[in-house]
Parts: sequence; C-alpha cells; structure tokens
Amino acid sequence: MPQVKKTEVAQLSEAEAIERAKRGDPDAFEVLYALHKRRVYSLCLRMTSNVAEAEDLTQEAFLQLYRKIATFRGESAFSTWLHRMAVNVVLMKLRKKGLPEVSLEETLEPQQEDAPRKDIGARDLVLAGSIDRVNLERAIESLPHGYRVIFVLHDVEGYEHNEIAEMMGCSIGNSKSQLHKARLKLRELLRMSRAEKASSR
Amino acid sequence: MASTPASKTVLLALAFAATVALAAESKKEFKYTVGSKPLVTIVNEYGPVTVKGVPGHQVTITATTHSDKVDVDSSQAGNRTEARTHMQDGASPDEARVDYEVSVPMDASVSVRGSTGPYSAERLRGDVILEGDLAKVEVRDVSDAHVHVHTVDGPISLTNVSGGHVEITSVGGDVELLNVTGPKVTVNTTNGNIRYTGDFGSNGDYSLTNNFGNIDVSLPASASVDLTARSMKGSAFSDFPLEQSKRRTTFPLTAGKAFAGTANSGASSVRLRSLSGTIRVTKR
Amino acid sequence: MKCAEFHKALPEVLENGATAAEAEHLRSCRECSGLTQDLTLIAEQARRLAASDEPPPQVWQRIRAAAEMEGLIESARPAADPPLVPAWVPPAPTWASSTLAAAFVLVLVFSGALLYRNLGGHATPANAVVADSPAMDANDQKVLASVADREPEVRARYERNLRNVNAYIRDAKHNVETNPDDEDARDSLRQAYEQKAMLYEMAMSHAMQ
Repeated sequence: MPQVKKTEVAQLSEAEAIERAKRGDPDAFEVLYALHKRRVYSLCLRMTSNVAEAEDLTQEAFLQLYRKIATFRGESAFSTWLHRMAVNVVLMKLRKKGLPEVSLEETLEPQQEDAPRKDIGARDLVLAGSIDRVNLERAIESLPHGYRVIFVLHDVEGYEHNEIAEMMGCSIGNSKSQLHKARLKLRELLRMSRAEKASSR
Repeated sequence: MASTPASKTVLLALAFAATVALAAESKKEFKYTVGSKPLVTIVNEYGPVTVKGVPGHQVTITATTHSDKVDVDSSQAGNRTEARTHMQDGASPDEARVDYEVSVPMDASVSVRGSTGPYSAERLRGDVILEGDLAKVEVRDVSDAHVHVHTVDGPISLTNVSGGHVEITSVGGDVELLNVTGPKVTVNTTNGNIRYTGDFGSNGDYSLTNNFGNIDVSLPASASVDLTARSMKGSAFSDFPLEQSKRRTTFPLTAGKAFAGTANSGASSVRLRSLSGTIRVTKR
Repeated sequence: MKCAEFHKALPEVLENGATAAEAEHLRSCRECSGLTQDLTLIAEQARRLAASDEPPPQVWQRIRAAAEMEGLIESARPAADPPLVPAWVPPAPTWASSTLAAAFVLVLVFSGALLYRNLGGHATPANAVVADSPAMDANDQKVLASVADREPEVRARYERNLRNVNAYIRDAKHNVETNPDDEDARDSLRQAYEQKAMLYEMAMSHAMQ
C-alpha cells in the first residue's frame, strides 16, 4: 500500500539519517530538520505567540538535537525524543522570562470567575462553524500564558496530563484544571469574536 | 562586492552609483569577517536601515541606491566596519535615498545615524545606538546590552529588550515599550506619549517622564514594583492594586494627581512623572 | 442533575465520557449540551494546529551556520582567526559629534544650570541663554539656520519641536518658581533642558556631517 511504502521509506530515511548525523554528516542533519521542522516550529510558535522567538527556539531545539544525537539509542521514537527536547527548550525559555506557569493552588473546582458564563438570551449556543484556524490561533494567542502552555501541550500537541505534570512540575489535577479553564476561556474568546463580527455587518 | 578580510588594515571599498549608466536601482554588497563584539556603524541621511543579528562572524551590508546622485562607501578597520552614504550637491531626498540591509554577528554593537529612517534592529546582544530626526525606530529582541535611541520626532518602539541600560529620548515622538526590562530604563519626551506594557522585571530602576501627553502603564498583577506617579498640572490614575509604601513621598498624594505604593515586594523602582500630561496605570 | 453539578464533572466527561446521569442531563439541558459540544470542538480543532506552520528558510541557514561553528558538522571553510581588537565603548551620543556642537550645547546647559540653581524666588538672570518664553532666541535661530538647507519637512519639524521644548522649559521654570522646594519641579526643568540639548546636538551633528 502506498501509505505503508511511504512510511517505510520515511522510516528508513530517518533511521539512516540518524546514524549518519551521529557521524556529523551535514546532509543527514538537513534530512532530520526537514522531517521534523514543522512540528517543532509550530510548537514553539503556539507556546510563545511570537515569530522571532519561535524561530530562535526552533534553532535551539535542533542544535540541542544535533549536540545530543549521539546519545539517542532508540528507546523511544525519534520524533517523541526530539519533540520532548523542543518542549523543554521552550519551557526553559519561558521560565527564564519569569512568566507564570501553572498555579500550584488550582484544583479541579472551577473558581467563580472561571465558571462558564451564562449568556442569557444568547441565540446560538454552539460554536460549530465559527472555529476556523485563524480564529482559533488568535484566541490561543490571547490566552493567559499559563493556560496557553497547558492547552498547547495537551490539545494541540497531544501530551497526556501525567506527561504534562512531569514536564511542568505540577500535579495531574492542576494540569486538568488549567486545561479546562483554558478551553472555557477560548470558548469565551471565540464567542466574543463571533459576536463582534456579527455586529459589524 | 565582497571585501577581503584582513586584520589591522584599512580596506576602502568605494561603490559609485555613477558607474551604473542608468539612474535605476543599484545594489552593492559588502562582506566583512570580524572577531567577537565588532562595531558596525551606518550613516545614512535618507532611507531605511535594517539591522539583524545572525550567528557567525560576518558583517554583510547591502546598500540599494535609487539614483546616480548618491554613493556609498564602506570600510573595515580591524573589528570596526562602517558604511556611509554620500549625497551629491542638489540631490533630492528621493535621489539621495539609500536602503540598507545589514546582518551582523549577534554580539555586534551597532550605531545608526540619519534623518528620515526608518530604522530597525533585532536579535542582538551588543549595544544599539539609533539616532534619527524623524525616523521611526523599532528595536526588537535585544538582550544583555545597552539600547540608546534618540529622535526629534520619530516614533520609537522597543519589544523584548532586557538586561541592559535603556535610554530613550524624543521630543515629539511616541514611545512604546513592550516587555522591556533592565537595570535602568529611562524614557524622556516633551510631548510624546509613552506606553509601557510589561512587568518591570526585577531590581530595575525605571523612569518615564514627559511634559504633556499620556503616560500609560499596563502591568500584570504579578509585577513587583515600588511605584510613584505624579502629574503636577495634569492627572494621574491607577486601577492597579498598590500597598502603601513604608517610604514617605516627597510630594503630597493628592487624589487624581499623584499616587504611590508597592506591589509584590517592590523589587523594581518605577517613577512616572508628567508636568501636565495624564498618567494611567492599569492592571493587565 | 443540576447544571452546577454537571459543570463540576465536565472535565471528566470530556476526557472519559458521560455517566448515565450526565448523559441524561445533556439530553435535557440545551446550555450544557452546547457548552460540551463547544469544548469538544475546540479540542478537536486544536489538534489540527500541530505541525501546521512552516519555519522560514533562514531558520535552517542559521541552524546550519551555528552547527558548523560548534563543530557539530563539517564546515565548508576554516574559521578565520578573529583580529585582535580593543574593546569598543559606545560613544556618548549626546556630546561626541563635534567640538562646535559640544561647546554650543555646553553653553546652553551651563546657562540652564545657572538658571536652574538661581530659581527659587530669585529673579531670572538677564543674561540667561534660554529665553523664558516659547519665542525663539538667538541660539534657537542658529540651530534653525543649521537645518535650513535640509528638506522642508525636516526644517518644519525641527522648528515645531523647538517651540515645544521651549514651552516645556517655560512651564517647568514657572513650576519651580511656584514650588521652589519641590524636587520633582526641579527635576522636570532639568529634563526640559536635556531635551533641548539633545535637539541642538542632533541638529548640529547633521550640519557638521
């Protein structure tokens, strides 16, 4: 099946590229970059909402990869290994900037101000049809920093709460709580955006 | 046109646009290999100058002229490189305009002087000095280095600047600071509006002053500041929660004209003063 | 089940599915049903953002250059020995342009400083360089003359800003006269003179170029 063949070729190429990269082969470096650049860059961009920073962090993530590639033994998938490295690079940068991460006092109990708003008289309760990529990206950029990090790691990048908790140094409950709040906030932002568009017509 | 790298020798590379038969766009490129912490100076009366920090040890200056009434000369002396625009007599601003794109090592110190700009500098870890009469100036992603910007009337914006002294002076230009922190940050205008968005870092000394115009500060609840604000003849408002400072102010805290206090241990000192403008401090 | 109870359970519903009671509530409550649909949709749409952006070409160029510099990959050329250079100290932007400009500005600031010290109930010295009104004095005229041959927009902006700075000085002086012991008033006057000094210096530095 073409899909399988493509995958096999990609895997072979990646495996070959990894071995060659361990020996300092520049072409191998470029292959690994080409294979994984979008995922790493997108992660950096979503987490920082800043193109220049995302470029710098992407650069740093790949440089770290090249520095450490000799230590890769195949215990996990290469993409998982690289991606985790990229997440750590971004989190370190955010910590250096002193940006607040997850509040350690949060629990699963939604606070009063975070409870879903009751829009009395709101006509359409469902956002379906209102979420396109641009709207969602803008809304994510507007999220408070702590919410954005958790949301990107879980809903965009697919990390589980136990993995996020380990990376962020918080509890699983904390991670779940922040994610829920992030989603509620996004809903609010998307609805506001939709309402603004409707009123400007 | 690439120059031969040489240490301790002066290389003069003269590029006369007059050699080009037509008065069309003409691009000249100068490349220099430099050591660590080089100095790069661009003097350009009319036209944009864009400076970007890149990895490596090379300075690349690309100058685009738009007429044969202007020429560019560039030279290297050791670790100093310079490019300078020379206008012929009678050249109009459009004819005298040269567009510079400059890439420098990230640890380079950069100095740009001219009149109309605009000027931009980004991704640098060396000192940045930008001066232009009316130039719009943008500085972005500079860390651990001093930033000095002076305009008569050109608007100035700094984004993601940290770790060094920041000195911004404009008579009439508006100044916008976004995520700018450092041990000492000073902004002084006559009637330019000043806007600061950020948390004032920690252990810094910040002073934003003008004669009239607005001073708007927007900071997060987590900001650690010891803040005093006073407009002698204008007004001063805040919706940011401040605790009364243990230190007494030298001026009366007249409601609507002055306020003072600390937040979160008051690590950074923030001084907002206007003679007759409006000061507003808001919580982000 | 009431809505408040459902909201509390919602994170688990989204992750692990609804219990019978929760499903019943979803069937009967339009608001909670809409909320659940929205949050599910947001999570689904978010997944599509992974790997959705392409970095610009220069990112790879920078990575490659940095990797070469670190010796991680083979370099195309040997690194040049950096020349021996003295440390570069940024020139003081206000004072270093020319002897004439520096002297001019020093006269201004010295006179302003005399004025600044003398204010506090004393009469303004008759020989103060800076006039205490927005009218242009002789030095202002010299500065404007130095930019006279520049383009009209530049000349006009210099003139306008010079007037504004003079107004600043006038207002600040008045403030000091009214509040002689006020530290902020004195500081404001100092700032106003610094503004003027900067403007003079920028005009003169162009004239000397």
